[in-house]
Amino acid sequence: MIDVEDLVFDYPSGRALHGVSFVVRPGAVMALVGPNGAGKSTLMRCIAALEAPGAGRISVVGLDTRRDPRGVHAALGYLPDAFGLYDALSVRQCLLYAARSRGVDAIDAEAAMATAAAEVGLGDRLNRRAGELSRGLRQRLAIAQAVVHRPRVLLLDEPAAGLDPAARDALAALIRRFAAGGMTLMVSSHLLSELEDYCTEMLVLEDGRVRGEGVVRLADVQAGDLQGRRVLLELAVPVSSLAAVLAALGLDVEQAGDMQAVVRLPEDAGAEAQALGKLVNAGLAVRSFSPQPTTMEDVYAAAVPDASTTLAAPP
Amino acid sequence: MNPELQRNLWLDATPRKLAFVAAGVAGVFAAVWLLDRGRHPYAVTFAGSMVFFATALAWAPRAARASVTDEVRAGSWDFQRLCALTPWEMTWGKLAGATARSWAGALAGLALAALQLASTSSLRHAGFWVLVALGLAVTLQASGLATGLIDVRRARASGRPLSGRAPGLLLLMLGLFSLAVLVWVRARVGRVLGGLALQASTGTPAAPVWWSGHAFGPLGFAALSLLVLAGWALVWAWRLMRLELQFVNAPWLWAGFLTLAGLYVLGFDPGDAAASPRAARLSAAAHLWAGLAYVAAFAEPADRVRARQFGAALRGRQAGRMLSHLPIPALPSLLALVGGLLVAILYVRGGDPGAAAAVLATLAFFARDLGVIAWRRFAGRGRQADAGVLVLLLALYLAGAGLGRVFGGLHGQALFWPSRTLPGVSLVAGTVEAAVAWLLAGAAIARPAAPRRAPWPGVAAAPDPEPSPASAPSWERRPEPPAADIPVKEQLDRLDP
Repeated sequence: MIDVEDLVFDYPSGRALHGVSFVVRPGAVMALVGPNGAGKSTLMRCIAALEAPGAGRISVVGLDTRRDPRGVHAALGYLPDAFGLYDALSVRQCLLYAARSRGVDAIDAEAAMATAAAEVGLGDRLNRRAGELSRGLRQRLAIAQAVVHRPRVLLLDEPAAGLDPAARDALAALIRRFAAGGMTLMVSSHLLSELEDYCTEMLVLEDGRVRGEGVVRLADVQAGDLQGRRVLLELAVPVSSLAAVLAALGLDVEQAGDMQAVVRLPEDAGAEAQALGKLVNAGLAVRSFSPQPTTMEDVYAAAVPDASTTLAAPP
Repeated sequence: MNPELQRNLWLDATPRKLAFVAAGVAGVFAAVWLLDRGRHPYAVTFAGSMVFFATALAWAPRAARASVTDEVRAGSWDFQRLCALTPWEMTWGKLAGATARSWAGALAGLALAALQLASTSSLRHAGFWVLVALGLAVTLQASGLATGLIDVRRARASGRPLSGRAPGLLLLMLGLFSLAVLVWVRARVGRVLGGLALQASTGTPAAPVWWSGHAFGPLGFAALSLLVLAGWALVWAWRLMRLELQFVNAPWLWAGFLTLAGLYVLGFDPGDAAASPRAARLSAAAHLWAGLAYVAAFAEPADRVRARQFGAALRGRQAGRMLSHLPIPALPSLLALVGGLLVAILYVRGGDPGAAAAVLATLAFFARDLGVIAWRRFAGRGRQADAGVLVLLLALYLAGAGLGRVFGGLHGQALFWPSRTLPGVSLVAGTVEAAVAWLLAGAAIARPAAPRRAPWPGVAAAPDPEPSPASAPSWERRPEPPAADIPVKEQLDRLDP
């Protein structure tokens, strides 16, 4: 659905994207993650055919962004991280304008407006002015404007930024609905936890380069795991240098404090029992020993093993 | 209805806002009536003209410009760029929609002024004045939109936020002023304007305008010229809108405009005073092209990446890419240089090699100026760079020539000013200065710019070429494991009794 090949983009101050290549499958919800300044927004703008790359090729639904930028514009919806609305217009007028300007026929515009408003939960606020809406509702209106022409691809740049938890949940539900309807989505964020709920694929971008093996299918890694099963160990009595202690017991330690640690175990069925036995025999006061699901942060850590950075907790 | 027009009307032409305009116009005419009581037949014409001037020529061009720049500042411009409207639909939708309210006032003023004029002179005369007014209004409003689009492109290239002020309109006024001065001095259009002024003030029929060997009535000629200019201004705005909507522009229309503008100026009778009428006509066209080159040099976004891509296409002999990336000042500069060379040849043939050398020296300084503009604009930042260029050029011409005169006499002055008495010195100095300026410009284009903040919401800032973890506050460093305070062996010994 989206095919990016050796994409290079230069700003006057330097290169922002260095030969980026990846493919997004139809129907996927791809998380585009990376630190601020990694090139996520630039990449999205290139895919949206709002910027012309210096080299490389981007194809969206089979259309080349350089040869047919207008075709690409028609095929996708894009919501930038800092979007604007016409505050003096009503929700109905905003959506009617969006529908008409995005090529929906005059006779179909009213229906398209009503559908988009209902999809984002604004059907009962059609006569409210955009300027009177809360942050979360404005976000929903902006998304409705982006999808009113039923695009096959939707690009959302940091869509959850500044939203409260309830609005973030509503956004996640909306994205899941779009994906269930067959839309291909690409969602960027520097907070992995907010992408966890709905993304099916993940691409890590750092310093304008794709890190790791490229697009990671989260279902695959969660089923097959990355490098073994992760287990959380919690102790009743603190042990300093727990990491060294566990390493000495032959366990692969991922993280460790005084009271708890995360270890990686082989996939075979007896590995957990064997490891627990070692811990108990070593005299450690084990309070709990529970397998952990693989998170996007684990995928990120696997993709960028030498990364000096990790994700911040959501605000 | 054009959706862009519809949206603008929803926002700007509400009944309440239109009622305010109607009340304002009615108030002006009521005040004129109360003060004049019908004593002066031109009072209503004057008041109507003032209303038209204030609304169609001052307010509306500003509104047309804001129809783009306000979208950028509000963060909705990217949404508009993704629309399915054609560039022409977007252009006229914005022009007509954003200026609808001002046109309501302008047409009321124009209609009353024209009716009064028709009753005191003739319907034909009033009709021509209406055409002049409409041509001027459309020209300025389309130019307002075009300069807004230029500002957007310039801001994007320089990485500076879009200003709330109007450098684009300043650019437009600079361009129109230099055009008017050049044409006035060189092509005797002053006669047309003088005749129009005379006709307007006294009703005396003005002398005809001689153009391409034919005599034209000055009012009709001005009306027709302005209507053609209005058409070109619309084309200008449309071409810039195409770029914003990601279309690629080939330079053919720009070349066509430059050719027709040159032919227009060439058509004017240079008068009996000119020693060589052909050289005078060609010189007028060359001056026009040079003026447009100066304006274009400021209007062109100082985009290093685009300039490098043009250089690469030039080296790779990729004709299509070269044409699509051709800098705007290139064509008028080339035409001005060719025109100047032809003028010099005509002077040589006419037995005046001194005048020919002076023309060549002027061309060398012209090339130097363009090099200085390119150097400072690519090396500097946005509007500060523009102001710096103007100061530097003034310093080179005035302070340089003054100091040169003080320390080196006429020879010193000729180093910084195209001299008619020492054209050889000026030619050599101008050529050397041009070479230095263009070398500096090349270095400025090749050098990476300093990272800058995002020009406006929704547009990624030019990133630091080497982003560091410290510049990414949302990604915190992975916590270090706790330091071992007890030796490992001791720990194991404690655990393993």
